[in-house]
Amino acid sequence: MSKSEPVKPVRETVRDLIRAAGGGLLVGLPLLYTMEMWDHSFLLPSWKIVVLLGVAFVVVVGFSAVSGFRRERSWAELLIDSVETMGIGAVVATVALLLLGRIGLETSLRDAVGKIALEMIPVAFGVSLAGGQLASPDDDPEDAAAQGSSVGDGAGVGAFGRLFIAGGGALLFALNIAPTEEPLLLGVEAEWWLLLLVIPATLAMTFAIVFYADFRGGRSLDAGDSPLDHPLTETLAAYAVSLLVSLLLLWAFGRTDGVGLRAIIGQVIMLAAVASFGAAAGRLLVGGSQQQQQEAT
Amino acid sequence: MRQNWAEWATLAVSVVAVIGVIGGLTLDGIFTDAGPPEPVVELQVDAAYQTETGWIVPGTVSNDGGEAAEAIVLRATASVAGNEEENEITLDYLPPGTDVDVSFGFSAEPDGEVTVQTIGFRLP
Repeated sequence: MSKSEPVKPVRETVRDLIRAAGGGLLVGLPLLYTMEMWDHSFLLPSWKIVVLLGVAFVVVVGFSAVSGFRRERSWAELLIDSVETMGIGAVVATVALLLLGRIGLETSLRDAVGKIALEMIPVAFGVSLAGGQLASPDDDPEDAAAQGSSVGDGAGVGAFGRLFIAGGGALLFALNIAPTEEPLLLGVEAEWWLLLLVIPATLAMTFAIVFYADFRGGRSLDAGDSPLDHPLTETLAAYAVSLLVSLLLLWAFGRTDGVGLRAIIGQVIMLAAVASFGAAAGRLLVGGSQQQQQEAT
Repeated sequence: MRQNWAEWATLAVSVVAVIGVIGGLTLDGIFTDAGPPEPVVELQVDAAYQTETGWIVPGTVSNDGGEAAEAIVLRATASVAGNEEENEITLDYLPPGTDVDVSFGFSAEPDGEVTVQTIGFRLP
């Protein structure tokens, strides 16, 4: 960092921050308007919320690492960016909760902190997306090459990276549903054969979305070198990740406490159907081969 | 490009916000005694008022315990014109340390003291 380097104009930083807040609200608003999120702030023990925040932080770090908005970064820069993402998420969530009248002078400190902690998770995901995905390509000519193709060229993201993004997408989607009571009802009321039908339906649809439906970022049916780089294995692996993410969220929101195994399995399968679509969307985001990217542009 | 003051400010605020949230929750988790819910009702008899549909006695319910309570049912009892009157209200949630404003209604101004009893609640 030499003296000769120009200082980034404040105007640009302000624009970045506004874009971050906008992206955060775009993703976070549905959950800011969800009653179960407000209630879980005091119903959940502190350590569970901290665990959720930790998982969210890992996802944010991972997304920043994979997303190309500033490819050549040191680990320190990556960490700083991720802390900023979480911090902006916390500030945006706080302001939104204040404006919505969900926290005020009569709210206890623990309740307020709990609400901010839970709501900052989806907001931070939105902030993260705003940095990597929603940025206009000509925003900064230096970064344009990496940024323009969004997270972009699949060549830079290995099979594991893609699976990680799948997990992030699954978390982002399922988070919108997991705090509500619906997965519990769906899981408990579904007959066993219905659950057995939901699994192949989920697999078939997510397989088709990523490898057949010709979405931007979709891929051909050609297998790669890694065992995970085959359409079938990748679909199965992404589904497994979705099941895990669903179980984590249901556990975190207390939906597994004192619930029988059958009901837990039902809930996980029903929520994983939603999570899988998030996983598919995430994989579309990191996209296909370079060749397909070029065709798209 | 070198960072400007706005970027440094963003970083500083972010660090404070993240440490505040995680630190607050961690300290709460370590030091707060997670005792059972203890609903406490404070009636503001002086602030009671007459309406077309009855005499309203406002009050505040708080939770002095460590844990939240769900579906709390409170019953207020008072003697009105010689007859004992009872009425119940239900609160969806009562988090620890948070005040919830409530009101009990009677057919007319009670003769004596209004007593409130906790009928029951569910633990989350």
